[in-house]
Amino acid sequence: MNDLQLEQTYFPDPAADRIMGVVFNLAAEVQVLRDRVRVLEHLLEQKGVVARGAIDGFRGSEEAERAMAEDRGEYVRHLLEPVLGYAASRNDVESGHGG
Amino acid sequence: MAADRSTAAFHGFLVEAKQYWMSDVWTALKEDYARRSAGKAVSSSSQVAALMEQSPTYWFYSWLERHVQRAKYSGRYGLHKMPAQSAPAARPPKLREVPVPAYYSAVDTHQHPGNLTGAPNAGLVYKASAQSTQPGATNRYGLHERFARFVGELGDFKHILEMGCGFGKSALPLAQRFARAEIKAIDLSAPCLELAAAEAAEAKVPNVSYEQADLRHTGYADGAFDLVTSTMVLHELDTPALRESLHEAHRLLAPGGTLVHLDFRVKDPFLEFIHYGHARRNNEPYMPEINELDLEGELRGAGFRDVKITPFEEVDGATRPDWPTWRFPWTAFVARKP
Repeated sequence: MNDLQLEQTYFPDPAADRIMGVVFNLAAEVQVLRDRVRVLEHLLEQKGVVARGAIDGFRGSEEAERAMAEDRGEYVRHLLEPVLGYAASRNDVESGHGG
Repeated sequence: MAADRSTAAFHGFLVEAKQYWMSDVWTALKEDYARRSAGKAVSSSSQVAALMEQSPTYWFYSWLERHVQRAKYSGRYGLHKMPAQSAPAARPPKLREVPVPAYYSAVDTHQHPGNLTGAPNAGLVYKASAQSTQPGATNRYGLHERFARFVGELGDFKHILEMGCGFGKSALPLAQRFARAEIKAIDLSAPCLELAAAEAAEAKVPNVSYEQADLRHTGYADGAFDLVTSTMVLHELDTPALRESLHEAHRLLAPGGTLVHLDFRVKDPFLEFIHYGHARRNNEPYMPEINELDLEGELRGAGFRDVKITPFEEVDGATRPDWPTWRFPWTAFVARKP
């Protein structure tokens, strides 16, 4: 694209406008996924693969529940880790490069 | 629109976001303004702006207004990906080479990349977008049917010109309301005219015909019409173009003819601040100057008399001061050629 113009900004820090954009797009994609999952549930029910209420009433084996809980924890830690503000690799602080 | 499930889900999300913005965010914004303006004498929109520039609610309000609209048109699921209209209308519009005026091509109005005179799908894109501009008022033809009824109370007209007809949202209800009249509807946008003609054919409305023309110099004969109308066009003109359009309408009307424009007018400082902010966020650069124009004086200067400027309700009760949701300040401008 040529002649790119900067988008309007509304927050005191223009970075916040861009972060809002990422969050908004993610939220929209979540709705797209939610919609597709619901469609899958209905189709599975219509085809007799999964009965109505089977997902809400689902109780897995102990091992399956444990694996899902671990997965959930890992997902949340991964999601929120940037809040802590720590580097994931060593910075070259001394020389001022990348510090 | 014909769309895959994901695109439909995405636009469903945008409509919900817009409705939340119109109701909950709008209410929070008004409450925030009430707090910030308490005990202060506020008499202009620039004073409101000074109060609101530190309001986080206003930052989010602005961001959402801009970006819900942006996402509608652009990006992965944007309307720009819609296919163009495939079948030509049974009674196609009369198209001709009409130069796109500089005032119109200066920006992408409504954040629609390429505007209505750009891509072949521009008519369908505009129609799809209009459905969620003000959900509840613009998602169907309701507003435009009310407009046709409003015009019907002003007289029985036989020769009608609709200026800036877009995809025929007003021309069609006018043609149905005035079934014995002949309606000409003009616009700059060929894709919109093609869609309008197809919709008229589909609705089996025979008394409307669509032509590509500039509303500043239409080419019709002096006194050819007894009614000239437009909806949502005035604010898209710059001041010189608006003046030219008024003179052209005056020339086109027979003595005793009526001019009716549906557009916006706002005087309250807070609502004016909102309106001018909307103009910036929605890429409608002439909205403020047209709002500030003395339109009654302009109409009289163009030779019109009996000027009546009245608030217009898109749904019952919408002009009540306690109306709970965001809305456009719809206003009817009626005048008569002596």
